[in-house]
Amino acid sequence: MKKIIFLVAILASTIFASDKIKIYFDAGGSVGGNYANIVANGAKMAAKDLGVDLRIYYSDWSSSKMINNFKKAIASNADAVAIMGHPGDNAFSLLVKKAIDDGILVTTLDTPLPKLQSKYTANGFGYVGTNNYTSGIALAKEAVLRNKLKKGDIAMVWGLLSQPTRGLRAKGMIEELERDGIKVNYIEISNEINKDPVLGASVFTAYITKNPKTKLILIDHGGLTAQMENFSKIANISADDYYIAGYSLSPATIHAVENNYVDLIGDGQPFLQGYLSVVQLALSKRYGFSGLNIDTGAGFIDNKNINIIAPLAKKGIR
Amino acid sequence: MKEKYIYQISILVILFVILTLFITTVPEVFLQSRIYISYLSIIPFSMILALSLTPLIIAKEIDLSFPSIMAVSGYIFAQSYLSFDNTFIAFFLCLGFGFFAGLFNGLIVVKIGVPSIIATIGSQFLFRGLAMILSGGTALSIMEIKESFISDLFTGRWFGFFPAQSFWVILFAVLIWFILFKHKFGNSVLFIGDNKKAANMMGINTDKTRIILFIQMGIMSSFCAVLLTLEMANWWPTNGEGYLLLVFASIFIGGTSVFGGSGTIFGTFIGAIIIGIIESGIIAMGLDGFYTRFIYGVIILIAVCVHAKILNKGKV
Amino acid sequence: MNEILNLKNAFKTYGKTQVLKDINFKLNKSEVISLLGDNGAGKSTLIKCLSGLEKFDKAELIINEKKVNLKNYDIKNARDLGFETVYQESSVGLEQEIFRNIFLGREITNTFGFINIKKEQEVSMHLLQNFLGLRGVGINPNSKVSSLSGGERQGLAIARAIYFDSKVIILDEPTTALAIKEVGKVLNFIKTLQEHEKSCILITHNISHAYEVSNRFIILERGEIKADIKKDDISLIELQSKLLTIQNEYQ
Repeated sequence: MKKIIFLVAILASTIFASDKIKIYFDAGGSVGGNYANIVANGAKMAAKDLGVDLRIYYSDWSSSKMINNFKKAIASNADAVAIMGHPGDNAFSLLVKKAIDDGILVTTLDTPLPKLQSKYTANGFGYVGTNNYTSGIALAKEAVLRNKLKKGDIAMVWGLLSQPTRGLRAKGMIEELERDGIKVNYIEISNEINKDPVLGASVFTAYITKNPKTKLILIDHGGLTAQMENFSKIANISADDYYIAGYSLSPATIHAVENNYVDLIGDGQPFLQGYLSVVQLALSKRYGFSGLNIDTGAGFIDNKNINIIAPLAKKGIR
Repeated sequence: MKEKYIYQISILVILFVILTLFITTVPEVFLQSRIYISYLSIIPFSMILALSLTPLIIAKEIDLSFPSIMAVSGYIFAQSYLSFDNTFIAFFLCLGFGFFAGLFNGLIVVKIGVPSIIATIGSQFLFRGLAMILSGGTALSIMEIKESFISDLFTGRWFGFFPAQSFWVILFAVLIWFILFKHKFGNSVLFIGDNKKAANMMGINTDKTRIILFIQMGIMSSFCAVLLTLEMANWWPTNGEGYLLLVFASIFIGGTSVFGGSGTIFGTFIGAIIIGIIESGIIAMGLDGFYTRFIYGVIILIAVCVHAKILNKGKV
Repeated sequence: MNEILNLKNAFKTYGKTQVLKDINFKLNKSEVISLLGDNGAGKSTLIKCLSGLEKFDKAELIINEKKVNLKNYDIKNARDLGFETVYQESSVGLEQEIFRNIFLGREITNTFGFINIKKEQEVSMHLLQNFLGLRGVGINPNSKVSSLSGGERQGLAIARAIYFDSKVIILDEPTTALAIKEVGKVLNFIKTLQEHEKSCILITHNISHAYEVSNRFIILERGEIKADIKKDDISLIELQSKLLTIQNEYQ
């Protein structure tokens, strides 16, 4: 009797599984990266809610890995693939054409692919994410507004301009600040500091000592934003000396926001990017909907709403 | 012996020149104590690693896995502090991992016979992976630990300003100098790097010595992770990755030979300071961060060329 | 009590090759013997086994009239019994100071293992001046060994063995790859061994070097001792032709 139940269970699960939509999903970063982790959590929850067979892969933010992973996904009979747009329209155009010709749905997240989107929207190609460039502008604008900055004030931007798509956010910040007549001091985040933000402490100290009149500090790096409370203490400056804005919610950032060391956080809501990409692929696959274009980047966090958001960050949702 | 002193003086001169350059171009930064306090807080991390790695390089071995050992150790420290609420348990569990990670590297290199560069490239992935698996990729915050005794002891601000980690790194430098040049263990290390066959012939247990060196590196990586986690009250999954190049640059600027058999603790000490101050100096001078790497390169090449020149002179 | 070493019925095989076949020989106090023979005659193997680097398959080894337990016989054991082997180029660390080389593995330390560097330097200075005869040439215990000439490096290793009171010093090709002037130095070092009442086993390809310093010659061929001749019984030319005859027999 037991055996029969067991057999039926296996049979049912295989039939059920074969019925499931198989979606391959690029979480973008590395296994364990805070951001990639939240994106993946969103995708997983959507897969659970919709009964989708989800396969997540990681690309360490490397364009060539993203392309390779996409090739593998096509080769493994996926029904649909969610890609990260970092490699750009040209790099993807032939591969996406081939996938769509083969009946595989494709959509992009985190970074848009405007040419492919306009060409294949009807085939379910959509975009969920923030626009690096516009989100840079948005954070700078919000910070200037809240801080009542005037023409001739000084701001520091600490970013990764040298990276192709990622650098657009810093570019957006700088252009927005300069439009407002604010003098911008830009510092590039070195490779070492990019990986071990702690190492930025003396750079920050040196900058602040050299330019004490700086009013606004914009940090285009989640890890560095998280260290700003520590850096301020090392440089012996108090929480109210500078208006500091950055990205990404980690436990340390939450703490820094609560203690006023960090004043504003731009939130790209990565969980939504993961969740909605899977939803859109699943729905397009089942009912043939066309691609959606969703901007998730309008979130701001400060010490007024941090109480609600902090517990969710611990769960890897915010 | 004499050429060694010439070299140590020349590396000191390089540091002096760089500092003078910074002080004259940006006195408003480099005549203030603030920047030096920040150096005292930050440089000890890469310095401890470089000091610990120097004997391994002298013994003609290498360890590329220390950044990953740091990641796992830091995770163990932070997580066990959160779980047990006891800093001493956390501290010893963390160092315990360092011990076993070092032993693991040592056994693969010495007993199985895999060259250390290959073995530790492998274990570096293994440990990094372990950190990811254990943490699930999320950062840990342990802000409360700042109130603890262990935090005061290792990373507190003594007399209200002096970062304790600086004291510990100087103590470690003195200790490792004594062991390397005044203790018979150090003698074994020097000869293993110089002529392992001779060391064997003269009855040195070269296997044991090398395993101890790897264990030492593992424990000190863990200790560095403790300092780092305490200083930042935080653990994150890429912990340690940024140190790899800095540590090797410090050692080779310092004058330790990549061919093994000779090296200097003093040189590594000064090398770590040079590497530690360059980037902030460049930023203070108002230059782009893009110059940092270029100037690292210039300084490393100058130092290594001076070293090679002195070495060749010493040869008959 | 004149006999310092007595090796009886020693055998050694590598896989199927019999490298040593029933070797028997004695070594007396203050005696220098040369092991002669072609490549592959078994000289190196015999030396490696005697110095504890490898083990005999079967043998009886009597040192100072005491039977040695060959199961536990290793490098350290051999050195404790007074055997020290000096290998060409591989017995010193070139980048290290002379005093460190002399005391390698036998450092003068306190209870915590810290080296008494001053003491080591004093002894080294004494050895440099009195044994190597290096006075006022800019060489001191803190010089690197790389600043010594090839012959002097061999001399240093020999001096080290004498200082630590080795009974038997085994020299493996000490004159190969040395300039003529350097060869003279090394041969002189070997001669001084007898003054210090040390015995010596010399391995060399150069018969004239061997003839100059040895009291006795043992000719090995195909793992067997073919001749054991006192220097008084043979001239250099006779020794050369004897060696040739033995080698030709086996070709």
